[in-house]
Amino acid sequence: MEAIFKWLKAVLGVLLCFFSLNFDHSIYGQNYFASGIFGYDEPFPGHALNSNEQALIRDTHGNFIYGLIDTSLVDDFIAFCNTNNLKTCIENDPTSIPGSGPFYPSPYKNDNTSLWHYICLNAASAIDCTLIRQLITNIHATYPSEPGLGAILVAHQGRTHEADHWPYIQYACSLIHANYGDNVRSLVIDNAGGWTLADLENFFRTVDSLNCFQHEFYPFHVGSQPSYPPTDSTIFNTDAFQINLIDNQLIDSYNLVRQALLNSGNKYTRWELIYQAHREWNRTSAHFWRRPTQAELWLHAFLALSRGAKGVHAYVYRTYNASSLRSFGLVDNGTTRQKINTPAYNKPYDNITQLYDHLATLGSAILDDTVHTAFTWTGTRYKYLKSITGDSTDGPSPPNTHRTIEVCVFKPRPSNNNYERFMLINRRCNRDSSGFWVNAYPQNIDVTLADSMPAGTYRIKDLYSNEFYVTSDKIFRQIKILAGRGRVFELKRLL
Amino acid sequence: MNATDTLSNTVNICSNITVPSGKTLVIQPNSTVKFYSGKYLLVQGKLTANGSASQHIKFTSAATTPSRGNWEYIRIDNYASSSYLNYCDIEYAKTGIWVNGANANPTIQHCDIKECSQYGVRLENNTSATTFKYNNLHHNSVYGVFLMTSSPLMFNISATNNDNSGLFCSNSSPKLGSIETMEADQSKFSNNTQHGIWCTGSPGSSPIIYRNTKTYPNGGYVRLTGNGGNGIRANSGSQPHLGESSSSPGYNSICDNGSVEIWNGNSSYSITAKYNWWGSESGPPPDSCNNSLLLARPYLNYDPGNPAKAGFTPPLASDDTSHISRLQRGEIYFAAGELEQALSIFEQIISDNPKSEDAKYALSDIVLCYQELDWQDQIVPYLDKVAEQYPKQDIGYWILGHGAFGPVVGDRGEI
Repeated sequence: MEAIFKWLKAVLGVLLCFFSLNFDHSIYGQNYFASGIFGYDEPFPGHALNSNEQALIRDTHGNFIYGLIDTSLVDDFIAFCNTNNLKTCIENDPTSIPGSGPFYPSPYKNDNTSLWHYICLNAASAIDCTLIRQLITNIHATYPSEPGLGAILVAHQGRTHEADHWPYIQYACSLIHANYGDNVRSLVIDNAGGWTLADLENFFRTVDSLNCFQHEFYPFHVGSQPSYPPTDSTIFNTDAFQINLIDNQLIDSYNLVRQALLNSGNKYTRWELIYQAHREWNRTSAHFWRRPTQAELWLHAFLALSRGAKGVHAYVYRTYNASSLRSFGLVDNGTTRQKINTPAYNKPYDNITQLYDHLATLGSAILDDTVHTAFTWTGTRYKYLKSITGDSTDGPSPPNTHRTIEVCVFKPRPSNNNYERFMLINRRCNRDSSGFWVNAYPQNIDVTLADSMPAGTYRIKDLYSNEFYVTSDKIFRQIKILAGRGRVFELKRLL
Repeated sequence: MNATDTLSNTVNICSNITVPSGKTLVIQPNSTVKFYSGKYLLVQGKLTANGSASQHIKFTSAATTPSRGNWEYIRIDNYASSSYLNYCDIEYAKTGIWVNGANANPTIQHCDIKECSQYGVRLENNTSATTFKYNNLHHNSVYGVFLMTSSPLMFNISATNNDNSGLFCSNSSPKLGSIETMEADQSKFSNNTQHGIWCTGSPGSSPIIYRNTKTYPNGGYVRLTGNGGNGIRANSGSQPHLGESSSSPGYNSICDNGSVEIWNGNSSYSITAKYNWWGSESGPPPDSCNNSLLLARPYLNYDPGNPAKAGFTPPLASDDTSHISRLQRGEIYFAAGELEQALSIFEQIISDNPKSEDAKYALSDIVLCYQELDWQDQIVPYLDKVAEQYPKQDIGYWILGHGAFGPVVGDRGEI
């Protein structure tokens, strides 16, 4: 094994000398902040996405689409992505080597084998660099330059955690880059929560040709399986609003990924979030996830942005009921946007659409910004920020627990050093009355600049809405942020 | 910091903001500028808020439920550069725009200013450098426009439904009129709780509200209608000019006000308001003024903003004198500035028939000619001479009985 590693390192060293180590977030010349939908259902492999479902996913206004496609329709599906300015990921089954296909724009193969077919085979069976090279060469020969082909899935959970597998993943990533540059990404999907910081750090250090690491994390859950059909009270009970605990879990989880990337010195891999937008009852493992509220959904995404995520992907699209899993997805029965027992403030499909509309603007605006630091505001001054204060009153229940504000400070861009950028997130997602799905509270936040800042007139500009706040006394007042939302501001001195 | 900074979309003014000298603040069309409670924008440099007919710029309160006086003002100070406010909608301030200083020379046009707790616009110590036209000032708590020692040109101004007066002049003599003269487009100081225009101060205010093709080609055509008090109120010392002669006619509409149409606080001299529409073809009603010191005749027998109305007679062209009377011809010469020609005609009219109606008007016009020629010291000697020359004629009696002004000109009736 050690000999293989040495050989791989030698090969990769030659390849990597041609690579840039700074990732370009544009694909085919366009900024690319990913917003995706995962089409998935049980039992494996489920059914292929039909054209109606494809259109519904497209209409969420996301730009990345996963889903099982009949192998004979893969070309049509990529053409669909090309036409609709979408991207998908593709994989190949190493068992089909030699040959040119079939390819699956899905992490699953439609063959009822339950195997996870990605290039670096999950199974413990032998895999070698020759096979990997053949797979990628075949994909490239078939799809040399399709804008709709956004990524090639290299690894998905399973043996991704095993260090002896990493050189192969790195090799696959290097080859993808050699063939496609940054126009088609190498992709690894995993739940970083299953890693130690040291292991994940080592992974990023070893697999430093990986374009994108998608981190999957589902925090919203209840303690026991609710009755069916579900009602608000049984689904959400008191646990539903312990968001102060949940959002700490979110932050811990995202910090793990960010810190591992920082520690590894890997400046090439970007990370994206696979977030929980659905409700799922795993009868086998006795995990019962509830749907997040609209505010929680946004918080889920914005906290990830504050830790440098460059994309978010919703899981899962379709409602299904299998022996082991019962999932309530973004739509019912695969096609209908009417929701199963869904009150007004928890329309999953519509929530996703609103989020993606927002991120289509904001994500692109901050795509090239690097997080300098991110933290929960506790009164400690930070460089140009002296104080950040939210509302002094809370909602009726639970009181005084969620008045927190998250802060993310971006590094100044070298080309625009006359402004600073920072993000504020309203973490207060608790309900504002006894109803379950009524609006959560906004906060009106005052931001005071540090005394050390020169006197003068300053403005901050919201990068999504282009709204300005102007002050000459260093206090930006009454910045309204809805529950769970984040706003990114550009600070600049004027006049 | 840049010489020019640009703001757009929604702009929240969190504190008092100053645009310093040498700097320019640009507000983009279609923007909304929201002022927090008690805040103002002070312009010592330059403010450019150049909206368009389809993309206005709004200056308003940041309050969730806004009310009058939520924020202070946009103030353009002395020596500020040529600020430009075009198609701006301003509301809920104490004073929408405050121009302060003789050297402030903003252009304010096509602006809609309302719901201010004091004034829509305040011009203070400002000369005619400010361009002020096509503005709409309404539903403000005190005045639509407050002029203090300021005499701007004000065309096509609509100051209506204000809780006190449409225009308040303190030691100010603006020139008022309309470029567009159709009724809907005319300047109007109407439907205010108190007065359409209120002239006061010491020494006083003497706005010019008449039209003259040479000197005030866009003057006149002002509506002073439907106010709770007077159409125009002149406190002692103030002498508004609402129509001097056929060459400087008012062409204003003065009617339907709650009290007398014109209130003259002076006891020694008249307010001239000739060639105006008084709401009736029969001319000004007897109670048009609180006293007898109003020269309202000749009057118009039609509303000048409504030419489609029967009886409309377009104004005479100054170069077409073939069919007009000798008196009218003399007044045309007067309007054209050919004063000696005019004097010659007027003197001839008196000489030919001192008992005629035209002689009385000719005498009045001779006085005006003398004033234009800056011969004030010769007016009284001349009148004495005429009185002496025609002692037994009506004209002589009038002069001897009433002095040089006012009653010299009797009622002629409609033109």
